[in-house]
Amino acid sequence: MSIRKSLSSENILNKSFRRWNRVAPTFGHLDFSAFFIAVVSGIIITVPYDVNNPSGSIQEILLTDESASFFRSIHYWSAQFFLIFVLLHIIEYFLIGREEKITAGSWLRITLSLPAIIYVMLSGYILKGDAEGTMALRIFAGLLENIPFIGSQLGTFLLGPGSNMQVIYIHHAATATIFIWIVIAEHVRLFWPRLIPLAYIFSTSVLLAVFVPAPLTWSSYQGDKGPWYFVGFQEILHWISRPGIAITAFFIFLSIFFIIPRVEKKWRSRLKIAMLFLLISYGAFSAAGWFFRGENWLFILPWSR
Amino acid sequence: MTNLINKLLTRKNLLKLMMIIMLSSVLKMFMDLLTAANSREDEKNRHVKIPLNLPDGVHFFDQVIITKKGKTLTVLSSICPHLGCRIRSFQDDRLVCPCHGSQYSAEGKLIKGPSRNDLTILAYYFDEKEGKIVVDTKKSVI
Repeated sequence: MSIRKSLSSENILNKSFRRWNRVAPTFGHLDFSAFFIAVVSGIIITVPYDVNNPSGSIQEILLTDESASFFRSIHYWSAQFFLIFVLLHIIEYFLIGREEKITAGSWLRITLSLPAIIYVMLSGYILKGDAEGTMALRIFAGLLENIPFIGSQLGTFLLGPGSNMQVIYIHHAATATIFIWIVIAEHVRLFWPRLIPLAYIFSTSVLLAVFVPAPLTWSSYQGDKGPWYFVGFQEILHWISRPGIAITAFFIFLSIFFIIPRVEKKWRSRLKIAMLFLLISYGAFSAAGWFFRGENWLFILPWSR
Repeated sequence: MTNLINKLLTRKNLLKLMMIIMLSSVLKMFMDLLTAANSREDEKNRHVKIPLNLPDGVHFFDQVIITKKGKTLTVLSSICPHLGCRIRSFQDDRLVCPCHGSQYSAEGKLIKGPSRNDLTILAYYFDEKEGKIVVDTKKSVI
């Protein structure tokens, strides 16, 4: 390579970007790493976890098994990172405008992976098997029942029979996880995450697991609230008496997400703005639910709690 | 027409069709298994037995809420008709859903939404042999 070529501004910029990318990985690589750590730690905690006595087995883990408790915390924190980085990765993609480079089939699978991600997160919460988890299971089942025509079958397929959690466990640990892994591998064209983002997420998860271990329940100081990503939805459901509207809105959101790369540029930016507006609104609902709701979902000021 | 059929009848398309049929059959079998397990589970938890000697007031028994005022007994489902959360608290003369805040009277009448319906009144009978009230959680009284 000639000296002039290697010193050209474009080349220097590319090189420094590549170097920067190595130490500061993209949100996409970070979310793949978080997913990988969540899967590995999840496999480890399947050993002490008992699906027939979920709450009891987690209590036992917390009280008597330090290493299992540590891996449970890593599982918890890496899963939270996964969700956060998926969200940031989508925003990053839409801002840069890279979505048009993805084929329709691949984009369809990415769109379908979004409800799968929500399912995996929520099923993890349900699998705690405590009062919070059981409540989340009932709300989830109630929401699915509101889907016209296929609601009941979908509920049976995703949540299984009654309060028995075996089916949820199978989907959480295998079906949905494998599907998400396939979608990620197809999207990033890698089977394994890169080392540097993996090191970042692993070290942060370990630090959090040591200093902020995942508790059995958060409800003693929060009232009957779902996980942080679900509180906004819970608040929306408080304001509407027909849960079908919330389900329809979710499907419209997914449909918009799916068609974004296929519409004209002018419409694409409008749809992106609409999605951003929906995201901000959801954030506002989440904040309202998180800070201003107390026991029995009654309005309460945070300082009078 | 023949051209179209020839175009569609490729080896790849036939394989795809076979895969779809196979996957649908597997899914159907899986759904049958789940449906059978569902009805078994429903039947297992269908009847709840509650002691007869309850004092006056509102009592919670997992799937059932019993309101007793003198000799009047109201047996309600504890499942909120809004989205199926379990009601387990009685505050200021109201049964309150913990998930979205729907409120009902002690007799199950809707006071405040988001729910649009009253709580379900359940069928029950007295089992004098065991000295218990047996509530059928799947049978409502209209």
